[in-house]
Amino acid sequence: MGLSLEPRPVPSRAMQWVSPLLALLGTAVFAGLLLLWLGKEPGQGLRVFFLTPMSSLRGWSEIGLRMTPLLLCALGLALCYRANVWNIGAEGQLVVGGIAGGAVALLAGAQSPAGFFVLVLLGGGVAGAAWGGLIAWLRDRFHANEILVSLMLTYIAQLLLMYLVHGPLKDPNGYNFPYSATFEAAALVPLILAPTRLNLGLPLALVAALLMALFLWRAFAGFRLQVAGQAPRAAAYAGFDSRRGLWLSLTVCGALAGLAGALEVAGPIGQLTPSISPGYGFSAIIVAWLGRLNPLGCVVAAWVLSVVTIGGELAQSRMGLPNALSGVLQGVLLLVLLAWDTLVTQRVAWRDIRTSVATAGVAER
Amino acid sequence: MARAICSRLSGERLPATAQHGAMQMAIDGTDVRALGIAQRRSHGLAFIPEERLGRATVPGMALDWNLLLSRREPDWFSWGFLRRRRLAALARRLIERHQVRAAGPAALAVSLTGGNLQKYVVARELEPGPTVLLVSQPTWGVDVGAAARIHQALLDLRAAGAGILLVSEDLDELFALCDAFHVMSAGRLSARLAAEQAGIEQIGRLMGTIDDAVAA
Repeated sequence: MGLSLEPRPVPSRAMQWVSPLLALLGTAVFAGLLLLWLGKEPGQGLRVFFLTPMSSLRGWSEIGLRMTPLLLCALGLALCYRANVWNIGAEGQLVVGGIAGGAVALLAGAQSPAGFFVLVLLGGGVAGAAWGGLIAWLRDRFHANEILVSLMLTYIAQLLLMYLVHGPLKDPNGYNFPYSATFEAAALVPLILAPTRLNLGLPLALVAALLMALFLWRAFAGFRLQVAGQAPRAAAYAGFDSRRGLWLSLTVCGALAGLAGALEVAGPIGQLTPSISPGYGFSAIIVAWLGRLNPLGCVVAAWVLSVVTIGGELAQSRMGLPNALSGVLQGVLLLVLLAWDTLVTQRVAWRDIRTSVATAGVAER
Repeated sequence: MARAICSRLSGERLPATAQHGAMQMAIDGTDVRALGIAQRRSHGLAFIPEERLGRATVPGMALDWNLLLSRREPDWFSWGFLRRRRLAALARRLIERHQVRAAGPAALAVSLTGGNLQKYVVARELEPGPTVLLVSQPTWGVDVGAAARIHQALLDLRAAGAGILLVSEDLDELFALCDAFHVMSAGRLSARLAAEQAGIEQIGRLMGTIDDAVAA
């Protein structure tokens, strides 16, 4: 008897949704084994990782705060991947959005009107869209590979931020630390659940998820973009312009990631610092796939990933586990997910090797 | 070669330059040389390409959504949003009328057998009542029953007064359906042969000219 994979006639819808759950389970098992190997008690470790973050209102609000940038970036990435545009640079678009949002926020004075933060968010969104549009232009005009370009533009964005906080945007009264001045109250995103740090960003991100779902499943433009992504020859047959999907997906993704960056600097951070994102734009790639490129699935996936990230930080402070652990688990989650995803288009078959040899012989005759 | 000509005639691919040479291309007197496939459709063109999966339909999309590949009329949209109920109703009607074996309008194109998907594509393209139909290898890999239905649908369209350009390598199919033939061989198109005059030997000789030319 042998185990073999054979293609399914039709991709399995059930497996499409079971696969993320199996991936989570697999990651939990792997985490347990890793804890055992590190000489910690696995039960306690898993509890800290997956349950403690949800044990208080403050914990929940922190999860919501983490979810916001992850979800916004993942929505944009899901759009790109559905358009067959392999943007992996949401991180750079987020950083540029943070820079522009921060630059606008620094213009606010003590007398600025209460709605000033709207300008901050707009600035972030526009700058992110421009950064994404740069990738679209390079691919459209010069056929540059968007995977490389989007990744490299991330480093440029980070170095730009570094230059600005060490130079032009440095706080003159900041004792030469590489930080900007802290923003005026009017430039900050309003809190929605005082005394926690949760702000208007989360409802904005959830609305964005609903709008994205509406766009993908109800709008003609969303349909066109997905036809071009899934079957370019069908798009030519229909007479759809493939360049439109490229530009649309990259600018929208950039705008959402840029908005996420502005929400970060004008939210929990409150100023420009050399590191405004712990890799939200990269983690969002995992969120997008874990959520099956489905905007509502991304909401759940962003929540799961936020829990694990916060759990990782708690494990570090409470159990003395290395900081890298939550990064390791995120990577394992993506790999296990991709492995399980094989079973969406393939199925496992037990095959008697002797019979298959015999059938092959018959077929030859 | 036939493929390249089909995608030029359909308007999927337009010549890079504005020069179209001496070539004429018109539907009901309207010059369509500079128009893309969507605009040609609005002038009455329908096109059934040889690949039903991946070109005539998107494999991973439902049958009702796949209708939209060849529909641009405002009936299907309101404010840029799709009227899904209408689409599903039309898909259901086509499935029932043409006896397509499918789970329903929400069935993915890839879930249908070749013959059933081809029946659906033919039904979709003929439903608006085109004045010109371009159809390539309509019964490739299609079962006998479906092939007979497709042939009948083409004959019905001809009876309704439409012009049909059928590209096929199946001589039986061509003799059963066509009023006149052109043979394409080695990149050259033969003169028109009326069906009454054309015999299988004559067609065969025209198909073989390439070999004669090479031998000579």
